[in-house]
Amino acid sequence: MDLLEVRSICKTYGSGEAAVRALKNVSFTVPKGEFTAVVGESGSGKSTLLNMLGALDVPTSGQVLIDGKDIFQMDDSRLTIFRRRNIGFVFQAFNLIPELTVEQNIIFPVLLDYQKPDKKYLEELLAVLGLKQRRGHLPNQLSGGQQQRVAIGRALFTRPSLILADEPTGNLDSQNSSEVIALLKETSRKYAQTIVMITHNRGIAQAADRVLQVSDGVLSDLGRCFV
Amino acid sequence: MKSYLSLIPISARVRKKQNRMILICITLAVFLVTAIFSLAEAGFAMQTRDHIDVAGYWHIRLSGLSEEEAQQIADRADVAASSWYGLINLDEDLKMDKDYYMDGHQTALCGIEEPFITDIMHYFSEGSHVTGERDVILTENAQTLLGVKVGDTVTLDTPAGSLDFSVSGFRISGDGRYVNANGGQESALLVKEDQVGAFMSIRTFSAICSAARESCDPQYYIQFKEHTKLKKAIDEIQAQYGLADEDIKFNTLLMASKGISNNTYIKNVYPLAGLLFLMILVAGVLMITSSMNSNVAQRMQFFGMLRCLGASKRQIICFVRLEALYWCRIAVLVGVLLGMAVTWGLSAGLKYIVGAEFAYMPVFTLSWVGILCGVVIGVVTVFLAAQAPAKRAAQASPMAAVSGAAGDIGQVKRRADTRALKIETALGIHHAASSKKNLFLMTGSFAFSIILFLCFSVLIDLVDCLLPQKSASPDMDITSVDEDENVVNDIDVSFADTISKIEGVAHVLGRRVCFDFPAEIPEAEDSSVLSPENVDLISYDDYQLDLLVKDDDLRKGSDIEKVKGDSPYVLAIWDRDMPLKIEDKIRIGERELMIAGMLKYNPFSNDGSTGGKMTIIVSNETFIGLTGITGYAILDVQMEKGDAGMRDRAVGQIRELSETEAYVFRDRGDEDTRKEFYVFIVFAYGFIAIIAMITLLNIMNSISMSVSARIGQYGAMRAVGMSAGQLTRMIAAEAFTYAVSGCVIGCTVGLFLSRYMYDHLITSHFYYFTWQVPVGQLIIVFVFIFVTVTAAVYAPSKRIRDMTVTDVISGS
Repeated sequence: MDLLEVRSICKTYGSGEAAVRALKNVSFTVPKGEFTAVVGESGSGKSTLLNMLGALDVPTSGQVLIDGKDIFQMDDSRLTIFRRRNIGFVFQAFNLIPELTVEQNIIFPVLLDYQKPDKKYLEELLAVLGLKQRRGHLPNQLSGGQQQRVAIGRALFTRPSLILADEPTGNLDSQNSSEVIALLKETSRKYAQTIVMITHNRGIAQAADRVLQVSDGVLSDLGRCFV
Repeated sequence: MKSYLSLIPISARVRKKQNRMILICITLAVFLVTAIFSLAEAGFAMQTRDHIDVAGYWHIRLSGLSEEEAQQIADRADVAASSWYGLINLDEDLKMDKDYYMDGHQTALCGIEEPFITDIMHYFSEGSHVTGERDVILTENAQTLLGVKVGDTVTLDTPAGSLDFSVSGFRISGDGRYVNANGGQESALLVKEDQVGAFMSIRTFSAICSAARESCDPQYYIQFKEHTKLKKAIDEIQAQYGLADEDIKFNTLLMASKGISNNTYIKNVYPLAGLLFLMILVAGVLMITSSMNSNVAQRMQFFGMLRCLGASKRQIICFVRLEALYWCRIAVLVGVLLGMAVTWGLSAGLKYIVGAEFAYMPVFTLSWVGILCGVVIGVVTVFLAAQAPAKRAAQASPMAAVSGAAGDIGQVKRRADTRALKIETALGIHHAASSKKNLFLMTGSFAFSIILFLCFSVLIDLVDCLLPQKSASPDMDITSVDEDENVVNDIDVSFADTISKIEGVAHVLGRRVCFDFPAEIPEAEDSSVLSPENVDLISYDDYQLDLLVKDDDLRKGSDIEKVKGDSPYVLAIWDRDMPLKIEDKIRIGERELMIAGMLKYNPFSNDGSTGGKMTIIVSNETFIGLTGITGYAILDVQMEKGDAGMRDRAVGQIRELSETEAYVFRDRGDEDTRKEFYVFIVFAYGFIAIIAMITLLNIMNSISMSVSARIGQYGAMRAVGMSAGQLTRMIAAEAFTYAVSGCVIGCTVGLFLSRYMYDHLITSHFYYFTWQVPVGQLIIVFVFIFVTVTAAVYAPSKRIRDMTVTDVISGS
């Protein structure tokens, strides 16, 4: 069964002559457990597509179904809770909460639910992410690579159906980039996570199971090969 | 552009919206100070002019001088005018007990010199003089009592014989009153309606005193020249002639306007006035610093860019300071103009709408004091406020500009504690507490508003003591007295009924009085033992008893209802030296009576004290039962409000009826101080409202800036799953942290200062008023806190809710 189903998504900014069509009838599906990369040049619409998938923005038309649920039929509060529990985000700029420690940042979505975190799972995740020694540190005490690992940990902690990563290696050097991609692949396999990753780096996209390309708002499926 | 500083006006043009809040804060601070000082100067000038008209233009009054010494003082280069002043046959209670009469009317004699008429006092009719030994100036009522005019001859009967005088003028009271409710201590020779006052030359006066073997100790009035160093001159005179402090009396208000006073009460006011001014200054600095801090925080990337391009830290500091002073150009000008306009408006309102003693209020005058203070306050507070933000801007690193991570929320050093609190609450509190400087400024702003409010409330209580607004205040009173001017219960009940039926009369409150009535009261050491004591017995009707409750004149535990009717319950007047308390039993005649309540103070004396005399208040029925007396001693008449013509007609009728029955009539309409009281209330609360508004604007601005600085972070939180409600609660937690910390400090310091001010300004003078925790004001403080936080949180959280998550993340 397809975890993610995108049906004819359109996004237009502005109106009249100044209208910009960022996405033009984009449709695709992603089966559960697949690691999909979305590539495209700067301004191609790939980040816009990711924002639609995560319900961070509203499409002009079209549908996005995650696990069979049409996310744009939900009101804001239901959508927020859905996003909290079912979607994990990894941003290019990490976007960690500077006042929270590594451990607190990772369990942040659970704290938003006023739930007690699964300590065993937390220990396991910290070990996988190599952050056990840094659990009490604040983000400003970590390197870029370590911060991105924390962001990945936060995205994974709720065991979401879908992880959306927007240029996760954009602010990292090559070594850290490789480590982060490897981590994403590993967790995808280990926890059967479905991952959609935005990148402009075709080399990094090769790590994915499948590659989609966005060009001028139009999506094409490149499969495992790309030009 | 001549230098990098030329960027300042360009930046100001571009950032109009962002700079708006700072400009508003500076303008408000300047406006506040200008308006306050201008109004105070106008009010003081008005009070001084009014005081000079009533009490005379003199600085000090000396006792114990010989003629030679007085002449030496008069010859001093710094003395503008001086005059002897002697008085006989009039004591402090306006009683005349010596045999000085004019045409059968008791007469007080006053010996003066010409400067007393021409320079010192302003209430003599034109042409009045005492140049001749037989010239006399009479009080104005002599025209009716004696039927005399200028040029007529009057005969003064003294114990040593009779003397004829020629009337040369009259002492004009101007308002038809002859007895000032405040005792007229500073006004020479105010007499009752049926008495006469006579001013004559000091030589004639001394001769009369000598012939009648009277000892009179004339005093010497001195008016110094303009620009005289008063304190130095007075100290010199005191030292040269060996005068004690008690021998020198100051013209209190006039001297206070020069900053000199030997009055303990006035001396207590100066440091307190200084303290209030300081608090206003600090509130202004806090408010402007907070705004500037937020303004700088938003522009750290810009300052980083300047550093990138080669600006030194010193140049950045200079830039920020000059930018602040640049804002002053417009804000100070607008603030001063606004302050003057409001001053003119308020002065015109006081003069033409309120009138009465504000009739002398100057309207369209320029108060240089107010303008100067406004400008100084504006520039000084802005300069002081700019120091910390300037230093902060100089700390911007060039990397901030390059990386875009401007660090405008500062380096986080401690984690948020999420163990005991919900995540959004913990984060909100942490946001507030993370910047110590901002926390200090916001807390300080809240605290100062609260402190000023609590302190001003004490001033309002003070004015309430000085100008008590009582429901029982009469518009006129009628008293029956015997030949010796003792109050007697001769007013028939039917007379009271007649008065009550006159059109315009709202209430007639009758009191029966028995002085020195034999009673037995509990002893101080053992309340079960009664010992004989004379008491003053006064009757109140039911309406008057209810007014005691309405005016909050009763001590806690009092029960008025028990006193009504023919009951064994009575009221007593509390005094700190009195042994009586509620539920004590006393005996009057055969009747055992119980104290059901106590008045907080004596409403029948000027200073509220009992003077050691015990007063018992009973119902009409109880009084008649105890004494057998049915007639009234005093009728208080209250008029209906509104129609001045109807009032004047009623006054005329009642006066005529009273005089027919030989009762003493007194029109007390001019004692109505309601207008002045409410003017002060409006002024005080208006000022407090502006301070509160400044605090509100401050926190709204601060929260808005804080949200703007963290907008990207909030977007990420929303993306990760924080709901709009949780975000609002997080912002609210930040605002509440400022508010609660400000409230705690403000209430603690404010209550302490409130008590200090109350003890020194009120209890020191009105001992029966003691400070109590101002519960009502504290409730207002809490409501203010809640409203402020709600207002501060509403706009930013709505702004975020109305944006898509991606827009929030990108900060657009």
